[in-house]
Amino acid sequence: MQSSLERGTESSVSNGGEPPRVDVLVVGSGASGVNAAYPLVEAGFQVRMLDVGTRDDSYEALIPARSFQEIRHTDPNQHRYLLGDRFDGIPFGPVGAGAQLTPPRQFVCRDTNDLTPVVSDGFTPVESLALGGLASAWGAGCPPFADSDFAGFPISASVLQAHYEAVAQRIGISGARDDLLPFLGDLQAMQPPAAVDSNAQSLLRQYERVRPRLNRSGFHLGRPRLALLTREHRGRGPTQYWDMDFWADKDRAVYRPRWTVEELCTSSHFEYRASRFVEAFAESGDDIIVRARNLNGGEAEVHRARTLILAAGTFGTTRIVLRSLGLYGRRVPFVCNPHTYAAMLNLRMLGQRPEDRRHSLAQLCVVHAPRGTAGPTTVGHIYSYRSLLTFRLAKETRLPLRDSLGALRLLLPALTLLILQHADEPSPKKYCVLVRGQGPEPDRLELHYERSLEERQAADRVEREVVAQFRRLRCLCLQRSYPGDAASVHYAGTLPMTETEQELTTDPSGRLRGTRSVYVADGSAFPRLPSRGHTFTMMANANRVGCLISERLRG
Amino acid sequence: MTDPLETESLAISQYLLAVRPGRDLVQRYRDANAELCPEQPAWQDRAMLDFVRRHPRSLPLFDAASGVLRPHSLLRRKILVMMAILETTPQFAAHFDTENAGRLQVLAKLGAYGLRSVVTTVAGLLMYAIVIGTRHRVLRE
Repeated sequence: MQSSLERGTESSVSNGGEPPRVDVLVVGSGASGVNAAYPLVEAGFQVRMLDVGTRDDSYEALIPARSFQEIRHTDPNQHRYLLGDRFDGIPFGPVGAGAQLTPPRQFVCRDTNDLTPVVSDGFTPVESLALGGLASAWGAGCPPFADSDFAGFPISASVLQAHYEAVAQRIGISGARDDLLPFLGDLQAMQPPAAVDSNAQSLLRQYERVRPRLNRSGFHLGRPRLALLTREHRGRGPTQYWDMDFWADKDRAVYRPRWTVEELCTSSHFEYRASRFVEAFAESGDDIIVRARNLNGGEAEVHRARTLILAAGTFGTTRIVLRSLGLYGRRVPFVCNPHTYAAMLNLRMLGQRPEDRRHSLAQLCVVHAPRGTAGPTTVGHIYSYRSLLTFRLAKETRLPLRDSLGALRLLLPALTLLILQHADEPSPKKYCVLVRGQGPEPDRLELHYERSLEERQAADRVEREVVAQFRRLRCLCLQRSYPGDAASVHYAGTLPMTETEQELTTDPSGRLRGTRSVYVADGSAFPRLPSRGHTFTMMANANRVGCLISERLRG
Repeated sequence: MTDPLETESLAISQYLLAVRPGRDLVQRYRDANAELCPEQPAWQDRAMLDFVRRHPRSLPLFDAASGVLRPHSLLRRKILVMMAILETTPQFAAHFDTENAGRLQVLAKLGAYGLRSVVTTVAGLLMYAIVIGTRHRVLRE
C-alpha cells in the first residue's frame, strides 16, 4: 500500500513536460478530496490528485506500537516525540486553535505560513497542506447532520443518506443505537461502539439513574459516533486501546484520509501527485486548465482535465477561486463553529482507580435539545484527560507547581472535559478578502470574524443550561473557557450552495456558478454550520459530488 | 564555576520530585532553555532567577508568588520545562501517574496541598516584595 503511494509521488517528480489530460483533477487529499475522488475512480474515470502532501518525516518511526502507559514507563526516547525535538510540545501561550496538535501531528500545518499566509486581528485558522489534510489530526467525531441542521441548505438529509452510508462503509464508523439515535440517525454500516473508560462508565451509570428528569430538560447522553474501528475493516484496526490517538496511528483504527489515498493508489485509474501547490484554474474550450507550482524546484506546471474538483480546505479553495476569477479585494463570507471547553470534576470518580485500557478520543456525546428532535440542538463531546501529559494541565493552574502536580495526580481520574460546539451563521462581520501579494510575496487572505452580542449571549445561555444538567450527573464545573474564534477548526461558507444564481456560490450539485466544470467538494459549499462537527457530512457531500460528476461524465 | 542552568535544573527537580536528574536530563534542560527561554529576560525575572540560584530553597516561595502575580514568568516557564522533561523520562514516570487513594484520603490530601499552597503563597509574596523591591530600588538608583 505504502509503496503505491510512494510510486505515485516519485513518478510525478520525474515526469517531464505537460502531463496527459485526465478526466478529473482533484485538488487536495483531505477528507473531502479523497471521498470525492473515490466514486470517480470506482466508475473507471482517470483521476489525478494534486496535493502539497507534507508528511511527518521526524517522529512516526520513533513511536512504538505500545500503550501510552507502557511507553511512559519504558521508552527512553519518548521525550523526542512527546515534547518534540525543538520542544514545541511545551506550549506556553494560551490554549487556542490547534492546541491538540502534538509534535507528531504538527506536520499537518507545516508550510502554511509561507504558502497560504493569513492576516487577521484575532482569527487564526489552522490550515493544512498535508497528505490527508486537517483530518490527519482529526478527533474522528462523526455525528451526521439532523434534518433541522440542513436549514439554509438546498439539499436535505434524505439526499445525503445513501452517501453517509457509502462513506461509513468506506472509512469505518463505530457507535451505538442508544438514547442519541433520534438525534444522530442510524447507519447500517455502523460497527459496535468502542469501550468507554471508567470516568465515562461512571457518568453513564449516573445518567441511567436520573435519565427521565434529564430527558425532560432536553439533555441526552450516549456513545459518540467515531471514525474509530472496533472491528477489522479493509485491512485496518481494530483499536488496540493504546490511548495514543493524539500521537500516532499505529493500529490504523482511527480514519485518516491517507488510508483512502493508499487504497486509491492501487488503482490504475488514480494518480497522486505530491509537492504540487495549485494556484489557479481557467476554462478553455472543453478543458479545465490548472496552474500549479512544483515545490520540488519551483517550476510552473499545467494540468488539463475535463472536470476540476476543489477540495483544498475552505480557505484554500477560496484562495484558488478568488485568484482564478481575479476577485482580489472582494468580501466573501465564512463561518466557524464557536467552541467552548468546560473542565468538570466527576465527583463520583474521586478516589476511584481509573481504567487504563482506553482510547483517547471522545468517550461520550451529549445532545442538548430543549425543543426535541425537530428544533435546533447543541452537541458536545466528553473527554477524559489522560494522554496529553500532566505538565500541560499544571500550566493552566495558578497553584505552586509542586502542589498542582500533587493535586492533579489525585484529580485526573475524575477530570472531565466537555467540548461544546455552537452553530454559526454568516453575517456581515464574518468575511475574508484575498489581497494580492507584492512582487514574489504570495497572496494573503485577510480574515475578519466578529460574533454579535446576541450570538455570544445565546451560546452562554446554552452552556449554562448544559453545565446545570451536568450537576445532576454529579459533575462540578471548574472552569468554562473560550479558546478563541478559530479553535474548532471547522471553517465553511465561503462559496455557499444556494438555489438562486449568484456569483461566488455553488449550485446544489456543487458546481461553482459561472463555470462549466469546476466543482467544490469541501466545507466552502456549506452555507452555515450547525452545532455539530461537519466532517462526516462534508465527506458524504463530497461523495455525492463525485457521484454526480460521474453521471455527468458518462453523458 | 557551576553552570547556572545546571543549578536551576537540580533545584527544580529537587523541588518538584525530590530527585536528582542525570547529566542527560540536565543537557536536555539546557537545550530546552535555548529553544524556549528568552536570552534577555525582564528585570523581575532576572532578579528572581539570580536569587533562586543563590538560594535554591527559596524556589517554592517564588513559584507560589509567581503563580498569583506573574503566572507566565520565566521562573514558572523553567519549572514547567523541567517538569515536562521529568514527566517524559521513564525513570520518573511513576511520579506523574494517577495516585490511587480512597475518597477520604483524596480529600485530606487535597486539603493538605491547599493549605501548603496558601502558606507558601503568603510567604512567597512577602519574599517577592522584598527581593523585587530591593532590585527595583537598585535599578532606580
